[in-house]
Amino acid sequence: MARPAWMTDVLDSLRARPGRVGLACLSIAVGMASLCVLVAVNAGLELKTRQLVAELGVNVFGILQPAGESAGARPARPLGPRQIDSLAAALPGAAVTGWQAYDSRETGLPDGTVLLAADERVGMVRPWRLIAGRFPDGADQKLRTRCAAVSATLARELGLMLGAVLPLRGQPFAVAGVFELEASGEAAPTEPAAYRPGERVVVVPGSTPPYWLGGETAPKAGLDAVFVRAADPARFRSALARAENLLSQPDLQVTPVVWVTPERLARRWAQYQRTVTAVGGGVVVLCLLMGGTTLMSLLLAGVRERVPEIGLRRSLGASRRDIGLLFMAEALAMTAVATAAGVAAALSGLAVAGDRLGLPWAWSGWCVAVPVLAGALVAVAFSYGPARQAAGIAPAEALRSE
Amino acid sequence: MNGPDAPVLELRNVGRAFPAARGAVTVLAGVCFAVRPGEFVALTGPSGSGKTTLLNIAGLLDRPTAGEVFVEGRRAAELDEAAVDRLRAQRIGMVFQQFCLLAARSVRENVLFRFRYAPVPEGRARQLADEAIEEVGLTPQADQPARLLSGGEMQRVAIARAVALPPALLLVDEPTGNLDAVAAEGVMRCFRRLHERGITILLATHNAGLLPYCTRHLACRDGAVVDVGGGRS
Repeated sequence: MARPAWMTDVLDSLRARPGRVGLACLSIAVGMASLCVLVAVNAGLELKTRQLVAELGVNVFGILQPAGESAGARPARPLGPRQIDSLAAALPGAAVTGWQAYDSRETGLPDGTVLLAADERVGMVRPWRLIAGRFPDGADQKLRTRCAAVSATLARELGLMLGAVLPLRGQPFAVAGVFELEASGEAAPTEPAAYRPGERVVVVPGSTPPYWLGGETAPKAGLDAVFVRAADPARFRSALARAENLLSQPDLQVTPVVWVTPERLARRWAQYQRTVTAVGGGVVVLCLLMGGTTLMSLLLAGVRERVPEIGLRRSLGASRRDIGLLFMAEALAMTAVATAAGVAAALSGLAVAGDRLGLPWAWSGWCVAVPVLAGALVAVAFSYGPARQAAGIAPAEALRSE
Repeated sequence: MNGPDAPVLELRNVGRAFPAARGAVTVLAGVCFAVRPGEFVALTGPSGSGKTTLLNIAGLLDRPTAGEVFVEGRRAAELDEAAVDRLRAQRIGMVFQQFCLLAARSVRENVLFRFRYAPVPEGRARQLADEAIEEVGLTPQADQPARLLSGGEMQRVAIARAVALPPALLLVDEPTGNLDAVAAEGVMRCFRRLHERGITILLATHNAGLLPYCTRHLACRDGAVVDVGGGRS
């Protein structure tokens, strides 16, 4: 099939100045790559927010007691069973659970594994789905049974099945259950393990730590986190308000304390998103301005060099619009190539290095659609002037310049 | 007005002045002449006498500052821009002293360029282009890039391009200005053949040696055009 005439015109013109065209394409491609990264990171942040909210659970809020400035510092007024009992009593229909979190240095488990010494209601409150077996129950709590439920990721990695033995500081714990976490990847170092334990988790009865920690590590005085699942969505806000009110009472007060709710999570990540958008957007705008300016100067030089050709085209019946469109088509072709290259480079870069840099990013159609739209806009905006200039050249003048 | 012998081109009291720092410079004033179908008219005059300006006005590439221009009986001033573009695309052919070829494209592609803005189906355009290339004797070079041709060959490509879509009026500006005598003769023989095929030609030149090829001679003097009379019979 023969190539359309306009395409031949555009290709001929671009081939005539490969160096300058390449430079213009490169500068636009840099802008498009940064725009693509920005869109992908924004999508990643949004996804992360949704995942964190899902990970927290439906109608669930958390009360965290972060460690003090120095590791292992004792909280001034720790969370404990009293608070759990009071919350359960004050919030009819709600399920309340709490846990102590121990890291791999304390447990002897592989790096990145978090051990949670929890009560028997943990499976009711957290959105964790049992694949096999059970979570430690009330009897295990009372009898201090050495049993554990392990996350599916850890079970796969360590080859653990129901009934297998998991040693904790030399103490054998039988695997009683395997569960799937609603996990959004590894917890960031800044996020407390007490709230987001990550993908490798072991849950043991909360009554057992003094028996496997031995004398080397002192059991924690209080709980690291308490989670409350409201009875239904309609009662979520009132349950949260009542819990906040309850834990501000002098006899139940906890300090320091951090409240984790879906809204607060969303707000926090939305703030990250705004910061990323503002900083990244600035970089993108600068890159696109630079790319657009390079494109414009290339086109303006093209208009000057091609005055006789413009005259010839006019003598053959080209309208002013045809001449203008010729330059716009060239700009669109260059930005199309640059956009494709920029998007491909950005997505490859993110795929290779994004996870290593700890960037939350997600592929979506917008990663292509936004740069394509921006490319079209840049092409039209920065070629309008040169196209108008070319279209305005009087044909007789143009032919005389030969 | 539109009968078989009606003028293809008619200029009535045409004037053209260009603005300059010290008032307007008048290049043409009160130019009146007509070119009838089948004529081969030579427009002679020294450099700067307004021949090219006149050709630009006749080719609707420029507008006169006074008077009226009629192309195939249509008053140019009454035509909108799109109609003028259509006339240039379909009814007027032009050949320039500097050839105005697209250097990177082949001879055939240059001739096909005539149809870039004319509504002619691609297959028909190819056929017409090949006929025009044959007419000017460049069939063996049809696939060569234009930049590799000699001056005379380049001018013949330009002629083929101008007549590939047979024009009602062929305007030619100093066609031999950049050619040696042999190449010039080859080019002029091309014009003679085209004229014999019935194409109406208005040729501007300062070279009196070209007059024998023409049927009528107009002379450009001091911004006016004088009908000097017949050329060859």
